[in-house]
Amino acid sequence: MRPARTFWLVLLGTVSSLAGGQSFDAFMDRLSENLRLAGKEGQMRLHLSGTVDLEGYRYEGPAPGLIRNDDETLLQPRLSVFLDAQAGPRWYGFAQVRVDQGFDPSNADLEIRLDEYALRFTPWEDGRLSLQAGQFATVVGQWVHRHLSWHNGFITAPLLYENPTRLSDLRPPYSEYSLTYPYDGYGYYYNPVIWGPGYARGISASGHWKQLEWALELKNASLSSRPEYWPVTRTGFQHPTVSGRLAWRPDLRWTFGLSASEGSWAGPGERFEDPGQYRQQVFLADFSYAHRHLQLWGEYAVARFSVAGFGEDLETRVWFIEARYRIMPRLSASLRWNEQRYSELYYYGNEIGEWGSRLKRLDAAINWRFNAHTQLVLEVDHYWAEEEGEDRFVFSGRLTLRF
Amino acid sequence: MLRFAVWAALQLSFMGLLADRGSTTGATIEGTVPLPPSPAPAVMAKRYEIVSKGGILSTIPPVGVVWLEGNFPEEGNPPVLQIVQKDFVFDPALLPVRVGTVIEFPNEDDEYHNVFSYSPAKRFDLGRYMPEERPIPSQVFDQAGMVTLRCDIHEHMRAIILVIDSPYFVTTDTRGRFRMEELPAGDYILKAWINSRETLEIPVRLESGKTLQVTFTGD
Repeated sequence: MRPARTFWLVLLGTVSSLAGGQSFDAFMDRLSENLRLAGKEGQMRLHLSGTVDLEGYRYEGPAPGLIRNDDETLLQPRLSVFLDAQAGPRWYGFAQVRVDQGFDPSNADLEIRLDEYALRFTPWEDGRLSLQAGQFATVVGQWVHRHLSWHNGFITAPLLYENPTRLSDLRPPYSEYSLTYPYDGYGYYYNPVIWGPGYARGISASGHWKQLEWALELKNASLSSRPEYWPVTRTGFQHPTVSGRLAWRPDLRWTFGLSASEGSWAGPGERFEDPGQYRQQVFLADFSYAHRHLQLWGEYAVARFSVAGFGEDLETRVWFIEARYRIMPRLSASLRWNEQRYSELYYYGNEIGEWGSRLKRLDAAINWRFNAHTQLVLEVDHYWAEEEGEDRFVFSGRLTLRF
Repeated sequence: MLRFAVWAALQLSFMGLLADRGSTTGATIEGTVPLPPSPAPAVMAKRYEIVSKGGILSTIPPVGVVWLEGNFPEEGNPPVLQIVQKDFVFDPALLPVRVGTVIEFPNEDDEYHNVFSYSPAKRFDLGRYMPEERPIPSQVFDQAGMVTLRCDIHEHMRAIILVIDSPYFVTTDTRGRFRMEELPAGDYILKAWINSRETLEIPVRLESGKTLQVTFTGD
């Protein structure tokens, strides 16, 4: 796509020339200071911040993950604006508005969405308890802490958060046999185990006691539900999902966590006659390590999906391990290994195959910061889908301007 | 772009001897620097934290830095100084140091910080380290210029180190007032750093035992 390539080059050239000097950082710092508001005595404070991202994808074959695109290249611009508000020591609120071509990359028209908003009450200043209500990221796992573009070493999410299974919350599967075939159309029409950060709506309680951290949430949609179903205007609380996480932090370097979630994975509407019979259970173990310039993360999840009329639950196991190292002050490198496997399907006691294609994926990325406000990430992902013999690369790049 | 706006009102006070606290060997400069209004205080983003800490961040009113520029003989090693990370802010938020100074960055919070700078005068990244780690991570600031200090984890954290090629410098108070004593007599440039955009300067003649009154005025 020549126009896309030209756009990239012009943008890169512009940013590179702007980004070299200290004056650009000073300008952005002043801009940030001008996006703050405070009341008298400074007890009520507001801050607007955000990122401007330009992502590009290049791949062969069908669009990978949750991308909706008919071409083999895609350019995805995105503006994310955050509002952080603090009222006294106990009240904190935040919101995130995005302007882009869809929550996941697509060739659709630009749209504006209120993706996140929440109000948090922290009765004690040491953070032993916080209560929150709104539409916000799930407490399950650790990946949500780095899912935004500036702090993410990668452009793609781990398989756990973006690889579609053969189940779809748009409609129930016709039979066990229908799950033995690769899906038609975009993967976007199907559901991963956890859909990105899972910005569903609900309430949460969280806190810590000594070295233990805990969190519980009650939300209107399951971890696997699609972004269109997160607003309460689409999905009510008739079939809520309960999730929780318990983590042990022996010191600042290490975190070991266990999460669990249970709820209905069925989407709203008439196609699922009894949504309560379509259950999703997720059990997830995670760890992280960080010291000096090295960061490591790992997550292992077992997800079970029940389907009305199916004899056995469908199970998938998906895990990843990720490392990031800062080689120089402005240069980091990231590496991630992902794998996903599916259980066998049975039909009248006979094995008819696994309900998904075993997938392995190796992701590698480098991250170059032009300055404190602009960075470039280049990533290559290598897919191995064992059953279908699919072996392909996906290339992506992202330029981020933070303000 | 930094702009250097230069304007000064200079008064040589003949009453200086009276205000000189009896010093007979060195010169003294005192005066005021115009300071910018305080920016609105920062807000700590804690959208994805399970444990919500760091309620209201402390506010630090702006101050300036005044120094004498000239050719001065080398003195001994500069002292080791500290910028502390505590309650999710850098303290002090503005630190003038002489070229060659070692600054330590102790972490006194019970959370990670990640101090870094991409400023041309000093580029470094200390990574994440725990409060009890020894030796305390430090850097030598061996090139004159402005160094903006940041935390890679907490976006609101920012501080400035002004690395000065002179042993004679002082931080103003929050009203912009300053006083430097025991200065060598001679002709120099007196500089006042107001913020990252504005540094004022004025030529001064210092006479031993006298006090020079200087009022910087910005555009």
